[in-house]
Amino acid sequence: MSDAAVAPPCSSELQRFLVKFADSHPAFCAPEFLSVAKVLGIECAIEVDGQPVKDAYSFSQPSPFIYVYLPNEAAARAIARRSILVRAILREWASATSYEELLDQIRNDPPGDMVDFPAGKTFAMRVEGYHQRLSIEYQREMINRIGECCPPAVYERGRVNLRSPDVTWCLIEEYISRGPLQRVYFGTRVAEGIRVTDHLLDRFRLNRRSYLGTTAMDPELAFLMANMACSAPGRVVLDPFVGTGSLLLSVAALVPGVQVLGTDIDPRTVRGLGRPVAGSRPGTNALTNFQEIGLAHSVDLVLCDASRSPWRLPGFTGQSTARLAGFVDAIIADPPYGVRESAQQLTQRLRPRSCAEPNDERYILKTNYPPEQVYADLVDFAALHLPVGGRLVYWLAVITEFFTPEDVPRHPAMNLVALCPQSFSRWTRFLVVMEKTREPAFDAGSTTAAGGPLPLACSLAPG
Amino acid sequence: MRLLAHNLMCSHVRGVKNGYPLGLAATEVRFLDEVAEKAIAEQMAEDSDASDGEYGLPEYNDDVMANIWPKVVYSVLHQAASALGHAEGLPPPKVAVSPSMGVDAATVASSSNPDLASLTEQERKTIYRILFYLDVVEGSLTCPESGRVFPIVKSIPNMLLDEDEV
Repeated sequence: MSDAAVAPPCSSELQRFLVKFADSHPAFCAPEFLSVAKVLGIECAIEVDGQPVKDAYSFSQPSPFIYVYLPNEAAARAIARRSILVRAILREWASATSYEELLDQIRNDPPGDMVDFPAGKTFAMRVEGYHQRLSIEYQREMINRIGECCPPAVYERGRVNLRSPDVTWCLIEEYISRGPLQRVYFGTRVAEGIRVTDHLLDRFRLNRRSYLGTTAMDPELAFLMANMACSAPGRVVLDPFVGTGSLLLSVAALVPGVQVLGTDIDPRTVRGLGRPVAGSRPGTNALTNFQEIGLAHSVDLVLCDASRSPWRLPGFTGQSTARLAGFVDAIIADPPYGVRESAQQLTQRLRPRSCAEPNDERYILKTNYPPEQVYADLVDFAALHLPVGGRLVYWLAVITEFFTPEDVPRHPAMNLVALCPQSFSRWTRFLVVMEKTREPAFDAGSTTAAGGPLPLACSLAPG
Repeated sequence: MRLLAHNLMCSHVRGVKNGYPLGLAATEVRFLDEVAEKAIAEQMAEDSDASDGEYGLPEYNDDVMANIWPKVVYSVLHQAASALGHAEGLPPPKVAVSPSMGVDAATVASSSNPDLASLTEQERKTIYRILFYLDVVEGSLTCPESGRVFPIVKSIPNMLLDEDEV
């Protein structure tokens, strides 16, 4: 991965905001934020060591509080409507390691929106603890302490309204796993994240779905992938290992108007013909979950081998000289890496007894599709089908003990944008985000971890 | 299978050179906006507390149309809709699909499509509905060169190849 290049200081128009992230996936916060800004066309930088960095995809810090630079509050609100990890975005007025210091700052340099508080407007003050539950009494005490330092304009002209205030000031205490107070922040809340306002994670809980599989993706991570892939209305997002459709469901639900396409080699998973997974309703299939939330008009599922897919190739129509533009804008995948679901490839005819669809006679399963080949084929497929700037987002599973950076697949036409780890006891999976930088040269094969050339791109190249 | 997917697929049988577009036939089709309307009505009936439309009915959207338009071959869409008997209201294509088309990528993908701005709003909405909402539930896709038939069952086409076809 290229080190995050330190961009020249941002244009002076950009304003500094404090973002409070959920603490579920710290390594993913900055890359997701930048990806959402990118797809919305918003100029954005992340503060790394006091410097604004526009390309901070590999930046990760233990604290869920990160400073960002954005053009205005409208931009902050737009990002909060799309990002799954943002909890709130604030305009910071003061921050310190102790209350005394914080109150001094407020006293000496009072918040601008307090000094000019407009008459007749309403406000609320909130006190929150991060990794610490704060009692009501304690919260009230802190509100009073802040109130004593506030400019008098606030109480003279404004009224308190806890339900729907015009202005909300937040005091946030940050702790690290029940240790002492680390830092305290004070600012005006500009926006709340969609996970807070829309209860997104609860609404898309897996156990609310009628059709489930053993490897259904956690909805929070699936939403993350949708954002990392820069999904947008009218863009086409493809999942070559769609399974029960959990990745695409999140993409379609988060981005109205996006078109999602999924393929899978196993008819039992897609059609719901195999042994039902606990929790699945009988008679359901991968399309059922889409239908139930009114998203059937955004999705198409196709049975095929990921390495032999029927998608129209860029530059290929079958008409000898006629050429077509590509149509895949982003590819997301949770490839079968053999931990819970084995990888299969087309080699032998096999017809499971459970697949008794009368009109649907062909069932062939590939066997023995080595994981490194799955990944290599996936990256090659992306280099061929994506437009320049299009993204490939997928999970790479490795045994933690033996992992080296060389295990991440590389391709001359694909740039590694982000590599976000999620650790389990003995293995780790990385969310890999790659971006296509140019059209692949068909004479030069890509290189894998093992250094061997991949034959696929060459064999699929248009004449 | 929606007509969008039909527009984006070609025959991948080994050795086939003229695999696009796939021939389309159907014994059962439906409109997904009607399906969605029904699902929402059921949901509302089941749960009287449900806020009106957590998921609204799908609506025509100009941005979606502008983004998808260069990816679609309109002549192929028109031909597919005709095969299903749903071409009514669709503007005629500039070029008919023929095997002898000798044109480049830009020509087939976008230049041969009617200019979106030149279409009436009603025409754009009709195209939108045919492209995204017309769903082939039961039917088949046929490779134009080899004649290989791929079945569509319960809205999912089976494009798996036999061992001797890859």
